[in-house]
Amino acid sequence: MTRTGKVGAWGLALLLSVDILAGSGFANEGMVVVDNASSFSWWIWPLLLLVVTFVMGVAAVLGGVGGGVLFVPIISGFFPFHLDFVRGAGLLVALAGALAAGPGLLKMNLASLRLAMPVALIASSFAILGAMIGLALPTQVVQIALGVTIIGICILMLVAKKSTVPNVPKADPISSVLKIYGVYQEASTGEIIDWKIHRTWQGLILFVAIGIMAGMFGLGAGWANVPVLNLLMGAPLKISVATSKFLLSITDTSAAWIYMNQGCVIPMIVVPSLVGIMGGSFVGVRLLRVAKPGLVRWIVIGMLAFAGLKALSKGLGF
Amino acid sequence: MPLTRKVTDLLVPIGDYAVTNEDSPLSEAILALRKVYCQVEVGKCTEAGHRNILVLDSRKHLVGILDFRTILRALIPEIAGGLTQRLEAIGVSVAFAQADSLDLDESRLSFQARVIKNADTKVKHLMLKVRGLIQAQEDLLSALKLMYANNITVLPVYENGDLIGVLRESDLFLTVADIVSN
Repeated sequence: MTRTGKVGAWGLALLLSVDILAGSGFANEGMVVVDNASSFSWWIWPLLLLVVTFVMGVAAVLGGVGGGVLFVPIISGFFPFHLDFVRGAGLLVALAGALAAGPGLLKMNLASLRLAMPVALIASSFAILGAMIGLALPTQVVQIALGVTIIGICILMLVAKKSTVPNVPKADPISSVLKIYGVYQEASTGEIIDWKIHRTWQGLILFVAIGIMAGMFGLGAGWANVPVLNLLMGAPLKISVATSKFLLSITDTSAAWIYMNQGCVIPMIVVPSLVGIMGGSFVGVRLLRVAKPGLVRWIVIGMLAFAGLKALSKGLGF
Repeated sequence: MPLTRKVTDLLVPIGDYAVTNEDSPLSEAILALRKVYCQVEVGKCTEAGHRNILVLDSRKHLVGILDFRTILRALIPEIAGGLTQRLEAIGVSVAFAQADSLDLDESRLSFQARVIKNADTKVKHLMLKVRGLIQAQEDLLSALKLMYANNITVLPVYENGDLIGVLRESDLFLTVADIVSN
């Protein structure tokens, strides 16, 4: 097994052991923050969270997925925290990654403000709505929807294709009026690439759904942003990836306020999660220089699918 | 008394200084500065020339200065940059890694390719703003005070509203050193 494969395998083993710890005879019913309060000292959970999110950060980078999308299903599935707190923390985890990358992506002229702004306006408005819906619905319903969404994300990860520079014969009227076009230099070839987009209104409608899902589940939304920007609207892949990351910093902020206002963002969960996942991501990037992540991607998809099924089973009460 | 001499006695005339335009790429500014700093065309670089390059706008007004540190920070931000720049560089890599688009991450280019790419940055995006200026008829002590008050090492010198030269910290050092040697 490769070095990165071992990292993934260790991550999976760690999660299973946390699950056993949380769901075993050590747990009791009855607390608000922690579903099944453990007889362990309080500090064991933040510590475990730090370790698990660190591994998660490494796996996210090696597996090619966002930290937020791994965080919510895995932590809600394997840790005894109430889903609302996990979703609140999940948004901040996605937000932290976006904020770390945002300025660099803007400076490199890869994140397009003209593309991001109209999309962000729609997505962030509906993220607020999604957060409100998510907090209003019964937890079981959200859990079932989360499970279905996560399994959908796994399928998307398996089947979605990418197009480095999609063919856009003609910019549509909306994108022309909003002046959504640009130029960037492809660093590897030195080629100057003019880009424009089409199918703008279809894309904006999809961002309604993406915003609602991001707000409702606290997932971050890079997994959905990139295919819509790239495959549907025709933005080059590089611009799509960078703009998507930048978009998260706007969308998730809006939704995060709702969770914060409802008291769903507690430092005990958020702080170790942020430190762990950011630290893990930074280590993951270093690892990428020396390792090929092939196997880890499969392990991460498997881990996500397992977490999705777990969320479904929790929601359905099995 | 050396420090009562006028700024005009010690300044480096603008014609002897390296200048660039704010819209020029950094690569042009680097070559111009190297030419002034180190006479490589005529052999080994034995005498250090000016360590800064002046940045002018389209109307030939001084708008900024570039020094070695600023240039290196722009060329190799992941090493010479501050914590923020380093975090940004890693953050960008994380963004592309998480989107499973590693091959698009420019920071994974070779060191040389990154330096060449970063040298395309426009000078106006990097230059240090001019902090303070002095008139040619003022004395060197005033110049010294101004330099230390503004924490700068070069001071543009103006006469009748025109930029006529630059006063350098190194020239002031040599002047003060004269007091010691005498």
